[in-house]
Amino acid sequence: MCGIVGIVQRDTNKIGKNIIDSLKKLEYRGYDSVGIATIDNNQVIVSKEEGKITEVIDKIQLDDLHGKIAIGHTRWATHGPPSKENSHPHTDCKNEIAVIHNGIIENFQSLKEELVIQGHVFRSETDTEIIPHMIEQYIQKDQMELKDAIIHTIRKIEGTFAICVLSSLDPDKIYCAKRDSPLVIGINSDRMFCASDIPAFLSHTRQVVLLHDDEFVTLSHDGYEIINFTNMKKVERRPYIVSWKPEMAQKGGFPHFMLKEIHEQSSSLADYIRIKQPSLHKIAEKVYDAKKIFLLAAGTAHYSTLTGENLIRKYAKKACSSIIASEYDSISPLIDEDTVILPVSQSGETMDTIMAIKDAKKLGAKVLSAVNVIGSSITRHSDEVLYLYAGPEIGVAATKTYTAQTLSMWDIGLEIGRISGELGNNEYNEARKLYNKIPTIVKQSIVRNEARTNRIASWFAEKNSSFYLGKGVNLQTAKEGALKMKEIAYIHSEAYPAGESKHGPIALIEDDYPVVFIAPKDQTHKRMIGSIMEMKARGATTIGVIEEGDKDICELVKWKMEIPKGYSEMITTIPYVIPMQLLAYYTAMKRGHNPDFPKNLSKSVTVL
Amino acid sequence: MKTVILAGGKGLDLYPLTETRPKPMITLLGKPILQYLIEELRDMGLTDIIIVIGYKGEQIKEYFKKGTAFNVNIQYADQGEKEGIESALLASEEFVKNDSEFLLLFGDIVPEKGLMQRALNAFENTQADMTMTLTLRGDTGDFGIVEIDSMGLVKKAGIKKIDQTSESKYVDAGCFIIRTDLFDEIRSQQSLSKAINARIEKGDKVSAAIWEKEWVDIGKPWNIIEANALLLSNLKESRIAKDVSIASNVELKNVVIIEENVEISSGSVLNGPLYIGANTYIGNNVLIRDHCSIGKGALIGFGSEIKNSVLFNGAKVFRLCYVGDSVIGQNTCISSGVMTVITETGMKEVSMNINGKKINTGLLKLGAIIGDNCDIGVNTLIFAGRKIATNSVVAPGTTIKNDYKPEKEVNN
Repeated sequence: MCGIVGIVQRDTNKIGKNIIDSLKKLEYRGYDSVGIATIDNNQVIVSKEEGKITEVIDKIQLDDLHGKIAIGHTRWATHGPPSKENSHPHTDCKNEIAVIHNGIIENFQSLKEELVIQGHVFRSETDTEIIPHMIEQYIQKDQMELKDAIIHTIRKIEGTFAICVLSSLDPDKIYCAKRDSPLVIGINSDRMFCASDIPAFLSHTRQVVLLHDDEFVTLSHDGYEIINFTNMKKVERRPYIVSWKPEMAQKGGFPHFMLKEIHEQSSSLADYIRIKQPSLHKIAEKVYDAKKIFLLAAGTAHYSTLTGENLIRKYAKKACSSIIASEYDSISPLIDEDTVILPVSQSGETMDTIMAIKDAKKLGAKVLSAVNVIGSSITRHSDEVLYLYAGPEIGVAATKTYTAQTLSMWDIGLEIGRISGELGNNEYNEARKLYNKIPTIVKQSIVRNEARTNRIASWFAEKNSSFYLGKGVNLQTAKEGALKMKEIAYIHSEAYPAGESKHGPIALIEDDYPVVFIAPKDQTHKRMIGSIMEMKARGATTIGVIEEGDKDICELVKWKMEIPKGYSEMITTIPYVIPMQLLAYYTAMKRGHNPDFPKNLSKSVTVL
Repeated sequence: MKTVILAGGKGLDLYPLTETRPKPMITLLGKPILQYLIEELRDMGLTDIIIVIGYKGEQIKEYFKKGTAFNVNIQYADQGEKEGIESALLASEEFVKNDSEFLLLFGDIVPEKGLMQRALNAFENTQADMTMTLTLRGDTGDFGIVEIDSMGLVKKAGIKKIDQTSESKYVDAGCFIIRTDLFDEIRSQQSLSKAINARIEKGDKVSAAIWEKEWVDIGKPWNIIEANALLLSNLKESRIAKDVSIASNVELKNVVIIEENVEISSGSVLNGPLYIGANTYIGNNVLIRDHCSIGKGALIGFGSEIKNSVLFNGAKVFRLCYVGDSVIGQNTCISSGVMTVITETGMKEVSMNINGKKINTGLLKLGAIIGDNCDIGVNTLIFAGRKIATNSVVAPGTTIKNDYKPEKEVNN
């Protein structure tokens, strides 16, 4: 996964700085190297380096670049390790054509061999570098115009891509195209943008044009022209206005995006509840009518689908399974016309999920998705989409999108309950009332626990390993809590069903070993007490996420995090995860890690 | 941007240590706490500094002068006998009124490095009208509680814990960016927080800069011990001055800073991080551990143990004493065999009398707070959390169960 951005502007002012500002907003898409190409004096100038944007700015003066036109790239390595040579932009032999690319070219080996025979010299190990050389080849050997050469090139490419091309042969236009990787256009009175994601230009414009697969765009400072590069037909598409405020893409006064996004949860969940989506009823009906139901997701989103799985079983009374997207092959033989696939994703670009739903669609399944990013790839492969309305999430560790995903599962679940009659009229209304209170209880959970988790974190930060135990619906809360601790604090954490912990994991318990219990006052309460005593007896230090004033557990745990009472078990999976997010954040702080850029992780994984 | 540092408060809660000095002149690791702030401002390029002095302000003036020695330019505003943040701010008005905004800093805070830069960054990044730094407190005590919204903007400042209208645990961290046209509101509202709230109601955008790192406000005597531990734990490198005499079998562990002309006799164990000021003498078989800061010209006698304590300049602890979790004032003598008790019985948290009120310190271990120029007699036993007034003379063998004040001088 990578972030790409291109700018064509009326004047030559600060183009380097503008590109850098946009790239910073895209750093969540990858951050192992950075590069920019501009045209100055009819020469293509490429500056690139390995490292995060701020480190690269220290090394080379990217800010000072001038020109009317520039493209920039922030990379997350797929072909070839992070290095200066492998950084984008890549150029042709004569240094006249510069290309940036997000995606993977599957047939690049064979294309590269042909080009090498033709005498082209390659400087990197990337798949991307074949693009400028192929364009050069078409121009030299077939006397093509630049634009035609680009279109011929991308038609030959197999795989996924969003590309931007800039060339001294046509020095005031950017050409871009996409297939399966994201690309959007932003329109401002004196400059035009193309980028992987909207936050890249949100501080300049809110007018956005979404691109579809197989579309090719010519971008000049005063306009854009879209054509479909497979049938060469012109595409008319008007911009729409995004409602995100520009500051939503910044971290404001919060030290990290992650903390800001934790705090944002009460308002993002309230947004979701406020916006009534017609697709909800259609999704619920289709799920209820289906014979087989599979929820499909990766990472954090997978844990949110466990709520969906529980609710569909409960209210539709149907066998339903939550499957990790990369393990889709194991259910592929079961897919037919009576199957519903429910993919859940933040970015809507998770490659494992996209490949799975493409296959399921071929086999006749209906695809009903819950996605945060509007117009993303998954939404275009779906029959119905429920949007999460969580706004852009920049912190690599998912927080507000996890709670939004879980909330959408409750939303679908309750609707199914109403349709199936499992929830009577009164029951349904009561449940909805409670559901509407979720933003309030989330707010209280943050306020009451932040200082406490900060204190617990001082102790937790010294540990190397921990367990998170839960039961029933809150097994997923334990799993999500453990994942957050791994992702950003780099402390080994495992989640187990509380009852399962004595079948193995308990052997690892020693003095002062941290065990976190998700123990709301529901039907799991008694069994959780048993489990706490078991762990305590073996010397573990126990930490409880409990209902406020729960005396039984209060006395058993060393540290407690309390969630306001008066809310039934129905919605515990959302508020009970809040202290887990805070605990992971503050533990990362005490250990000196930056939670916004966890090592080895990227925001959404758009490679297989 | 100019900086206004408020340094004029009486610090009544810090009695007896503020009987003889203003709060910002409390010296840790060889520097008054105010100096740490000024040096950080200088490193940020904020060299125009106005210090608002009041109570014992001449000591501050005497030490910092015009700031030349610290490479800054210091001017002094005097709040005189008037008390409170508002009078202090109004005293600084004429120095900053020609600018559009200024950095406001409380002179009694000890933060990890970066607090002021954080405030400036938040002010610029959010393009807010004003900015205030916030930090988390488990017990919000008598801090001004601040409520923020989910976008990190201040909704309401200066809420008191007793209000119970807010559950927020964010308190103001004593560092602000203030617009100079706020002075009118400060005059009419007679309170900084009320003035800020009035502006928010009018639609001004006040951004919160959240400080997730360590931060100590020197409000109560035990905060001195906390601030000392914070400064010591941030030390990265040891430094031992060249003309120091350390006997061959002295054990030094972790980070230590030992200034010139210190003498450490054989058999002593010094467990860092710790600081020992110039001209200090450490006798035989002394044990110093867990974050100690010992001032200039101090003395630790044979066989004594000092733990998690601050000894001001010229403090003397003679042989076979135990000083734990305590603050010992300037030129105070602790005679042989004096013991500080650091825990309450039954694992209770230690309480302390602050201005006649018994306050739970929240600490399981806290020793004694002893003022300047005291003479504590041989074999005195001091109970946990007790205070001894400046210039006290305590007879040998005394057991100090209540805070100690010298008898009224008898008129001969």
